[in-house]
Amino acid sequence: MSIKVNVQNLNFYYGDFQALKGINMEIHENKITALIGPSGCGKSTFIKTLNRMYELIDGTKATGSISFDGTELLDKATDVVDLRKRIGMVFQKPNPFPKSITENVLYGVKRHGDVPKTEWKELLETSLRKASLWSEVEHKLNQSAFSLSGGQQQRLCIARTLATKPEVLLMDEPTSALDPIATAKIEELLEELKKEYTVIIVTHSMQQAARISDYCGFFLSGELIEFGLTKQLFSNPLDQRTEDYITGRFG
Amino acid sequence: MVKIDTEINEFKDEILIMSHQVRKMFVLAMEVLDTGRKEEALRIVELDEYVNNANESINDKAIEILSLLAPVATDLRVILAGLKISTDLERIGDYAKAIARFVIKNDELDERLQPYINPIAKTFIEFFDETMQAYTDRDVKKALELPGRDDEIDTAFKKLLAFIEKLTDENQQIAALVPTIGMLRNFERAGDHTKNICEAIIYEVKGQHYDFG
Ligand SMILES: Nc1ncnc2c1ncn2[C@@H]1O[C@H](COP(=O)(O)OP(=O)(O)O)[C@@H](O)[C@H]1O
Ligand SMILES: [Mg+2]
Repeated sequence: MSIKVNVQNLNFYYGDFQALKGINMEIHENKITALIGPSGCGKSTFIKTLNRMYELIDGTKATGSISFDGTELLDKATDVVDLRKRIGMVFQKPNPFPKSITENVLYGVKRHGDVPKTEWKELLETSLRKASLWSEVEHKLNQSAFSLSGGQQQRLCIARTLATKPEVLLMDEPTSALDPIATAKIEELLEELKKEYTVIIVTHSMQQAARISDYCGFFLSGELIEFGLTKQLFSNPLDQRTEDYITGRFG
Repeated sequence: MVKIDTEINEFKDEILIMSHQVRKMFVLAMEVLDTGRKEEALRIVELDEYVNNANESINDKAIEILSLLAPVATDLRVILAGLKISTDLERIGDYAKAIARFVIKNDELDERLQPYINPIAKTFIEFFDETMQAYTDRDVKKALELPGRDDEIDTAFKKLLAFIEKLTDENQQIAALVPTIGMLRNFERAGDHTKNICEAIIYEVKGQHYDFG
């Protein structure tokens, strides 16, 4: 089993505040890794370090090492535009642009300008198919993205991320704004996507983590308390704090 | 206390109540083997009905907790171990009933056998009591030691067989004693299921599988 991203002794600071403390994590290729923990424990911060999104916030600093297929991701010399294409991100609330479905999917591609125009049509279709949205939108590709339901919008955002041909997908609570049926669709989609991508998902739902992930990490106050196979973590966790959290006896 | 704690306490209580009934069946079985009182033996058969119902009720409770509260980790293992334990308890109850049936159908036992039967029954009941105590206390150390008591039951059983052999040497009819020996094997089998309960206790607490044979 190969390691796609290897995080070693990662520390992260918002100014003086240390939000991540000595994180070590091996993220396996073509697996779903779920991150759980009470709110404010650093899950979002952690996945923001994986594509250096934190650089958009002033006064932040990351130390340690994040090796992505052997390249040091924290190294300033690593091209951040290229990095964010290879490590795509999907957010909590579906955030399509006020444009057509087509424009939304092709947004990144047009901006990066690295896919010839002749291939756009095909890329549009494959991205929408991979996001399990094609059959629902193929007849209204020019309609506004806002005409879609919440669940469809989220799959559109996934299609938009897939269009830039990433290797890793970061997802921050991608279903928390969705109803159970739309959630089930995304979960089913993730199962498909992991064949081609490495998925890292933050979720506040422990049931979701248990259902969909292969590996799971439990964060608490900026520390990674336990990380391992999901089936191990949910059947017989090693740390009492993990046990207390997943059994709902926390705090 | 979170809801699942309340539910799990109730679940474990049901198992303990069931174990008290099973224990009562064995204490009665030991008595009727001595006295030969058939109406007392019938009470054991009645109690078995209660024990079977308790097993069903424990199953229902487990399904309710699993479907409504989606337990994980230790909570989940308490349920899985509890289901195994209640199955073993039901089987142990069946062995007491088999002894009761024997008493109902047959004449009183040869009283010379009594000194050999009592240690078997007593050792089993002690073994059973300590096992259920270990379950209550979630005492893994005890659960690991206790299956050794099963050897004591085996030893007591061998003594009984040796005595029966001696009777044959003295030209007694052994054929007449075959059903008695068969009936007494119920203590051995109940001991085996009590060992299973020890395995389930270890699984519940540690998440590890043990096999005491
Ligand atoms: N932009 C920021 N500036 C300062 N502190 C922040 C910022 N974003 C998050 N934090 C703090 O970092 C900690 C981790 O937050 P976050 O990663 O969002 O947690 P989670 O996603 O697990 O809920 C929290 O204490 C939060 O207040
Ligand atoms: Mg967050």
